[in-house]
Amino acid sequence: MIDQILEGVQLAFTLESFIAIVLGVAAGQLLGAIPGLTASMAVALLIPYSFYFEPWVGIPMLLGMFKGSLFGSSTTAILIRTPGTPAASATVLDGYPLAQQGKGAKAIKMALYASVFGDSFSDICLIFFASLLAIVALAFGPAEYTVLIVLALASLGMLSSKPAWKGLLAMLLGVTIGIIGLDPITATERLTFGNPELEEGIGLIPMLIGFLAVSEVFRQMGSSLADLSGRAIRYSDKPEDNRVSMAEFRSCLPTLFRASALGTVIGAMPGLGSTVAAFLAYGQARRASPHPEQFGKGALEGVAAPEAANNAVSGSNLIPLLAFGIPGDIAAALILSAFMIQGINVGPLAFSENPTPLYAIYTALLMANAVNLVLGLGLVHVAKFAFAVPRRLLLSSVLIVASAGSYALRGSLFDVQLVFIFGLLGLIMVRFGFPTVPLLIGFILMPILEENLRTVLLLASTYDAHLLFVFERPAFLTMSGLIVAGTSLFAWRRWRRRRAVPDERQ
Amino acid sequence: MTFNARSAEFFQLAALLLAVVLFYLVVIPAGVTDPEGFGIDEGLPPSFSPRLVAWMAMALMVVRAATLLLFGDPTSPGADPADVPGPERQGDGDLSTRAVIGVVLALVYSLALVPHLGFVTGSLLLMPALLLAMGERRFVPLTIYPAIVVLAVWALFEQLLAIRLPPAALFTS
Repeated sequence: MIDQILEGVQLAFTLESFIAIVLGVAAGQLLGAIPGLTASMAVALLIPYSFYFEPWVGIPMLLGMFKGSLFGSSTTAILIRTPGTPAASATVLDGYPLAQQGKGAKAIKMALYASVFGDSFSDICLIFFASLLAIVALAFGPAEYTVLIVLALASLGMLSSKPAWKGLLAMLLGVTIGIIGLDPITATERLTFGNPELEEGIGLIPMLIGFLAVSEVFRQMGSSLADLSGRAIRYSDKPEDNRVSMAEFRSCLPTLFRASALGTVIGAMPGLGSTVAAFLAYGQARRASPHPEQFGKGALEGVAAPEAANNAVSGSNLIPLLAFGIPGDIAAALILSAFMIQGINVGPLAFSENPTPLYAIYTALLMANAVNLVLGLGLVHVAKFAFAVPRRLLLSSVLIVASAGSYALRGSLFDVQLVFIFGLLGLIMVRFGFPTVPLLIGFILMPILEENLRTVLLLASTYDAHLLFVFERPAFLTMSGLIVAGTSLFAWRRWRRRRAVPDERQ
Repeated sequence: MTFNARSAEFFQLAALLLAVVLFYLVVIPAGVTDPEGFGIDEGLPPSFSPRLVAWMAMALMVVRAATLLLFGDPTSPGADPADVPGPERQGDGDLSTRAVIGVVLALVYSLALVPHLGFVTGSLLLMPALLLAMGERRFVPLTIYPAIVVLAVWALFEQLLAIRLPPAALFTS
């Protein structure tokens, strides 16, 4: 076995594969920063080129591209409130306030360190615990998914606004927008009113770009002329505002570990993906933080948690792929197609028959993390140019890029129109104190929730409509226990904090 | 919470409640047709999810209104620090004329310019208009900057990534 591991490491440790990883990561970071181009789309764009190379060169290039795009998307999320990919949506919450305070470079560096941390954590889990994690992930059925999503919706909707009803109502609006399109079971049209453009449902990219970027452009257009003629992004000359100190990194370590673990588990479960992981990790970090009041105003942990979690997905979504040959999401499916075309077997037999290529891939994954870190630090310096751009030029450019990005994915003019309509809706919502992020969370989670809830009900009908069958599932019981324990702990801490506030005033 | 703030919230709740009731009574029946005989054994009818969402929204607003009536705003004085909203979450005051102009320009761009003139021409018209609305009066920023930005976006998408941008219907038909 040691021989096979060494052989795999040797295959990956070549100049060609190193250059391929560098090219893949660099292209990923740049493409990831372009709104509208998802990580999966970036991988899809590169796949045809990867076939010209040996598998040990082509596949690492794809993996590097995937990792690079996840970090690259956070730079625009932080600087201009425009997530390059949906996975960076949660990074906007604290990254953008940090940039507004002149700490954009610090936020990007934190995002980079968290991304590399999350990546490395999940890769190590993939290498050592792939089979174990795959078994845990497969124990998750529709009942467990339903509970997980309901919990995520309730907690993320409530924590993002005061009063909480506005966040929850925004989330329900997002769920309603997610309903538009064809019913997943009967294929009946829902709320489309005969518009063929709506049959496919509303795209995630127009939603994200419209509600986050375009609404912010409209809002900022209302600033004074003096503000509009100034710099687009505040830049602080203080060195401590442009770097992450060791003390700050250390204070974020518990968050990084928790978020990486969460991202790894979510990534191992087919169908959830990096966006869900990022939002769940953000909520978890806020609940666990001793200073939850700083979240949403520029907390470093608020950048670290979603970035560690969304990157942790990139390693662990290979777990069901490598262990069982089941791709966990679109990116994994694309990588599976590359494996198949390159003639590499995946699945249970791959480890026993010819594991050398898999060890080469593991090595490439770790190399890609190091390259991501080095190139990412370079990208921070490039991103600094954005600080000097006049605000009105940047705002108008964002609208142009937003329209191109929204058209790119589906080639639909309707999506371009939706971007600006959602931008207007977002502006109105913010004007009346309704947060837009829970709306996006509701929209993202709605299809997963509906599919699983209705599957549970179908399963219940096979048990003579007894929903109690879910309590016969060990995974459901374990998860419910963990949720009850976690909620009780959160409620207890909240109660203590509430008691502490009047005491401090006295 | 002052009387005015509470009244404003009541007004918001009443308006939204009315909208949700209309959604439930008018929009859902008009927009979702359930297949006949489709029930819980088949995995719930298509209208189940929108109806459930509407019920949840109505319940949420009724509970909030009742809480406001009975207890005022329970979260105001001894509030949990975790409840304090961040900058994104607060109301942003009145919309300025410039923001409204921006919205109108963007809607004209997406609904009329891009479909008829295409991405490049439409963007070359939108960007200077936006810059003008934001107080830019110098010739170079009004002409050269938009050309550079639009050209860069076009080159990136169409040439480098081979992704088509909206073509001009007027010129192609």
